[in-house]
Amino acid sequence: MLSQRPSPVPILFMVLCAMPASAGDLNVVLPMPESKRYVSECGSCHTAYSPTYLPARSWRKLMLELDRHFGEDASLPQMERDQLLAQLEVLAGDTPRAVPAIAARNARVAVTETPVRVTEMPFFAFMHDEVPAAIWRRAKVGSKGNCIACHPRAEEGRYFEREIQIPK
Amino acid sequence: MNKLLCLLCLAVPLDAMADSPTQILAQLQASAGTSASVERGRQLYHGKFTGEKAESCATCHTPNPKDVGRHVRTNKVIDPLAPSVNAARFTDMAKVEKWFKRNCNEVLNRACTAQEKADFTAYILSLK
Repeated sequence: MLSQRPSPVPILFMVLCAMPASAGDLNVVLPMPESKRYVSECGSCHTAYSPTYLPARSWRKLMLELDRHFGEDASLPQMERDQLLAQLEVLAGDTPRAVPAIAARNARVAVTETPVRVTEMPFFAFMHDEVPAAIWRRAKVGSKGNCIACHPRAEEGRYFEREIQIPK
Repeated sequence: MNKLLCLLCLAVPLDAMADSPTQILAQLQASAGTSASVERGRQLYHGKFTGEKAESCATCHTPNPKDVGRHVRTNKVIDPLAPSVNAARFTDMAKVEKWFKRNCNEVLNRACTAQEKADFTAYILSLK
């Protein structure tokens, strides 16, 4: 009779593949909203972050308070706002379309909290814990939310370790 | 025949949507009811106002509108404003008005007048 117990080798392999290597490379392209308006609207002032970085409740809060967006009025016509929000919600970090390794870390945020900064999420801290403070202060980096400064293809959802270019 | 149809599909929306910077300036001047002044636009661009985060257009767009700027808070790169170095600028009236609305509020703490918009645009378009 064949044993029902699965072999530990493929399981170990799967676990290793799912784990970020060292400081980490997910080896996946993060989901981005289909509409080009997401990058053209949100991306004019800051990196257009992948929706997988925040839970759906966070995107709802952000998009419903665009008139008070980190001290700026970033309001959009309601129809456009609703279209973008729908695309963010469906790819958010607590949905079936989320990137599992990111969602697992960010699940440490209590469901009673509604975080609004990608840079304050557990996954961000985990991935950037080796980055010296002096790099964040460089003129071409300047803020932790400026993902695209070091991840040139961030707005295509690409954060591969091999594509990182830290500006001088 | 198919090829011709494809060409038509491509040509029609582009033609209908795109304005040239000089057309945009003409529309802004028409709204202002007077001709624009490059010199007044220069003063507006470089002037210092009461905006808490950005006191001048140059804060983000740099003292030279042909240079790459940076958002004052996020530090994200802002492509040059001058159409002479960035052909995408001043080609979509809705976009132009959107950014006047946002940035005049940020820098001047009020909306810009039609005259100011025309002057500003005349200055930016004068940079070759």
